[in-house]
Amino acid sequence: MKNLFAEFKKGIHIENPTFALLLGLCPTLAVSNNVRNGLGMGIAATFVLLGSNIIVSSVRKLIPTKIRIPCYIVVIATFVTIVELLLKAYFPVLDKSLGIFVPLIVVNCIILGRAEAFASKNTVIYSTFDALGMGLGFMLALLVISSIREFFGAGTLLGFQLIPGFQPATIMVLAPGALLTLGLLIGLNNWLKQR
Amino acid sequence: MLRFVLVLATVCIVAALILGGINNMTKPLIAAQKEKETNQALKTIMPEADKYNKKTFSGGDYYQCYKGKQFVGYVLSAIGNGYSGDINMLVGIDNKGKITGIEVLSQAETPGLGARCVEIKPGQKQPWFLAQFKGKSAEGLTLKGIEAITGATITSEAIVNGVKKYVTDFLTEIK
Repeated sequence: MKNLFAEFKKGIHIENPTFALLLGLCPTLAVSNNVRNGLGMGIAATFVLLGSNIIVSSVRKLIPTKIRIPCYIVVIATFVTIVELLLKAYFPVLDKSLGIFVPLIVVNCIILGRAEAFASKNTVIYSTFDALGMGLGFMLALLVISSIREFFGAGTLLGFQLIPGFQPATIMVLAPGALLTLGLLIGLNNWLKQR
Repeated sequence: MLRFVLVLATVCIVAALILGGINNMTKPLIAAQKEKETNQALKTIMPEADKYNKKTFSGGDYYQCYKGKQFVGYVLSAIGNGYSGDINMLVGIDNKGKITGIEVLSQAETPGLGARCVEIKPGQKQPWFLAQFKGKSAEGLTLKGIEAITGATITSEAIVNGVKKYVTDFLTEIK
């Protein structure tokens, strides 16, 4: 049980996919401009990560090493498409707000990274906890970045105005703001780790 | 070597079968959702009408809207050339050519920037950007007098130009 918890915990801080492993930065930079989007992407990615980790770890002994990457990509792409179709058919409201992020998950290298680095070498139970931890870590990272960017760039949090009369700096919701915020947060994370 | 081919082929076949099955299962449901959405959009754009006759013109579908037997206006589909792909819209015009409402059916604009064209502010029912078009003349439409979306000039212009072009073409065609 202790080991399972360790697998879960490492994704949140020590091996945080965004701040420590620097994986999946493309979607991180693209969708962290407001909290709603960050949260949506986090939830959708966690869901796909969980599915792909479980499937990859359960078929890990059947797949030859030399062709593992194409097999993983097929598994991930299939899973993402299933999620997309089910969302469209059964949860149209959720699809309206998350719809654009779901196809983006295919190119999120956290998913392939965890399939390759963890799920292909570990049992289903461990892979499940790894996926949950990594997913949560990704979600928290997105939440922190998007809160900062939305607050300084639009003066709001989750669409609600916090300080009346606050003049937002639009650069923060544009691409440069994403790079500035991410860079400073990675620096802060490294500084905290070194102390 | 042959084993690799067989494993990869099996993985692909299984994936294709699962996807095919799920696609078959969800297709009618997705189509029904789309239709429901269109009907809802028609109701928001032309609330006074109670009958919508679907027709087609060179630019896509349009609806003749009637209240009882009285003709109240048209709702037509329009496409804006957005920053990342087409912005599919429905535009309502009354019988004087004034816009009664615009609904975006699908768009793939940048989240937080262009995608704010469908942002609804707390306490409001309609997206604030689209609500500004109400009552404006469709054929002479410009960004003047309309508050564009911050950081998304291309999206704002795409909607204005798409609406203007499709309505102008449509009105010349049905004359």
